Amino acid sequence: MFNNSSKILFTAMMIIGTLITVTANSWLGAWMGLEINLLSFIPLMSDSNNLKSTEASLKYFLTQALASTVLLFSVILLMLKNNMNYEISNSFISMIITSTLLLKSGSAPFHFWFPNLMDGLTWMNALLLMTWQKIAPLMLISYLNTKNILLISVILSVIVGAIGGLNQTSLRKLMAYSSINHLGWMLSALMLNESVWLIYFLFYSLLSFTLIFMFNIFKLFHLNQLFSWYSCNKILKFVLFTNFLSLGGLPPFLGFLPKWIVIQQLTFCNQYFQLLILLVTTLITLFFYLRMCYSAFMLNYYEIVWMNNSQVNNFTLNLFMLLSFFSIFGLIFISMFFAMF
Amino acid sequence: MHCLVRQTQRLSCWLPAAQIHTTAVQRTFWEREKKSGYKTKLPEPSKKQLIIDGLRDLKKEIKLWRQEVKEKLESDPILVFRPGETDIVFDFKAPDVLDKWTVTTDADHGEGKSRATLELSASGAGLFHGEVSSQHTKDGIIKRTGYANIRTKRVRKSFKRESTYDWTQYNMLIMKVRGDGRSYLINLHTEGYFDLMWNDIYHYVLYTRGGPHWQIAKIPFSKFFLSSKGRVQDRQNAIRLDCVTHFGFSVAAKKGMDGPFGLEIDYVGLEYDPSHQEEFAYEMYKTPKYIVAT
Repeated sequence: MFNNSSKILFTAMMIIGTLITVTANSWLGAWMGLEINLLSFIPLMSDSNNLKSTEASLKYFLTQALASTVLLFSVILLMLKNNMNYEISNSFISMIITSTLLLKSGSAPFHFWFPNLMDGLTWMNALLLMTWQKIAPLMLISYLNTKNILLISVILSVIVGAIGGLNQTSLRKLMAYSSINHLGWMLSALMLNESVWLIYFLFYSLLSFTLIFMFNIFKLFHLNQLFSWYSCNKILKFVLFTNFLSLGGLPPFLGFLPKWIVIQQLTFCNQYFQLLILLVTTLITLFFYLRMCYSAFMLNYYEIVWMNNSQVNNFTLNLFMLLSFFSIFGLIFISMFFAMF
Repeated sequence: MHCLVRQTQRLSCWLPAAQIHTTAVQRTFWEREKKSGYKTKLPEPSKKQLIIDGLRDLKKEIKLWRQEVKEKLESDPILVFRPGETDIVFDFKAPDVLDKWTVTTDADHGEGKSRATLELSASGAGLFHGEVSSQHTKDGIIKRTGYANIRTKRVRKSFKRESTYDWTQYNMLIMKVRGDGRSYLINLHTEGYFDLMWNDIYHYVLYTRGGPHWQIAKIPFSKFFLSSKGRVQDRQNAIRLDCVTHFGFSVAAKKGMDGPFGLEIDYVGLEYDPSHQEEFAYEMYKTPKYIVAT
């Protein structure tokens, strides 16, 4: 990345855009930050000499621009209705604003652009789209007082994320549907408490980064490549699949912790129906991760021995092992930490 | 964003009276419709007929849809693609298979005098044969003509939704053909979402032997080059295997090769060859911006 000055510029502006949104005092400032973020992410996406990424960046621009336009109009409407104060007591306008922000973050029922787009991106851009681009919209949703539309979105997101990922062979589309599912969990955490959703987001980003880092190093884009990938170290393959299980939320891995926190908070608030749907759909996502890992652990696959391993060096492998260590044993350490103090 | 312009017909230069243009100059890359001016005006059936046809097809479509949902919930995709295994995509065994192919020639829009048909041959293969001729009325608009094509119809999901072939897991195209020694062009249409990409076709040449023996042509997907409306593009990319919409063959009367032609196709299949590591066969002269010229 550091040999390309335009990439540094766009990445910096993307970060600045999100920071502007998050630290904004008014809705106009927040909208401005969202636009800066959008404008600088598009050249990052369309960077490779590939028609698919160009189409992806065009689709991203169209959907996000639509959302930004409606957001701006609804914010102006909010100001006009409340006599130039930004009090959000009006549920109709706050419903419109929530819808636009849900479209920006890619949660159901506004998720249709997301998996198709992810399929055209490189792994690093996909990681940015899955993690960093969610911060600003979700932060803005937490400022609003919508309950109904957010609840609908939570339920739809988890169902869509679970069932959509069922017959996928493309890893990027799989991660996209997994992201939609996790977004449902994050939105329900958002309804509870700001720290809870931030914790969920941080853990999810860490686990996604671990997986995507490895996919990027070994250029794995499809399920059959994942099985027939040859690594000189068998432990590495095992650890990669265990990371998948961790992302699916299987205890005793780290991915279970954020779900545990959300489940506990939801039971304290007596939100049993929502909790039931979240749990059942998580089991479905876990099913397709488990099916993948089961096939990889139990069955024998042809492995392609010759590979261009230019990006594999000590540093990348050590980094991956460190992150996987936290992903696998993190829950035990955190529990011990809490038990001690 | 990179420049998305496809090369269309020659743009006029500004030297007055130095060049006489015999073809229409197109200064835009906007397309009004997918067929780009070559749409045949078919008579539309009456509304009553449309309703009756729709109701008749409803049962079939619901059955297809139920099959799709079942496949999705079963979620058992092919996970292992073994080398040497060919998965056949198009063959001529089913009784109604000729409905899935469309035959076009230059005579369809009054541009030439070629003839072509697709029928089942005696050996159970599809025979694409006819005669190409580069003779045409010299009306000043058409410069060269003489072509014939066959193309599969757009693949559709249940309820006539347009879909694409997903060939991402493969990297070789296998064809068992028996030709007459001519070179045919293999066309892989990847109609994208936007109008700029509606005419994206990836081509490669199929060289046939001409004898009585069948030949199995094995062509990697990395060798296909991009063209739009017959013009090979400057900015080349590898083919997007998840967006393939049509498959076809073309033959032309180029450089005086008028006359009869015949291509017998037994099957077209796909294979995954792990020893083929090439991503794209063509290198661009232009490098990315951050690579300094040495």
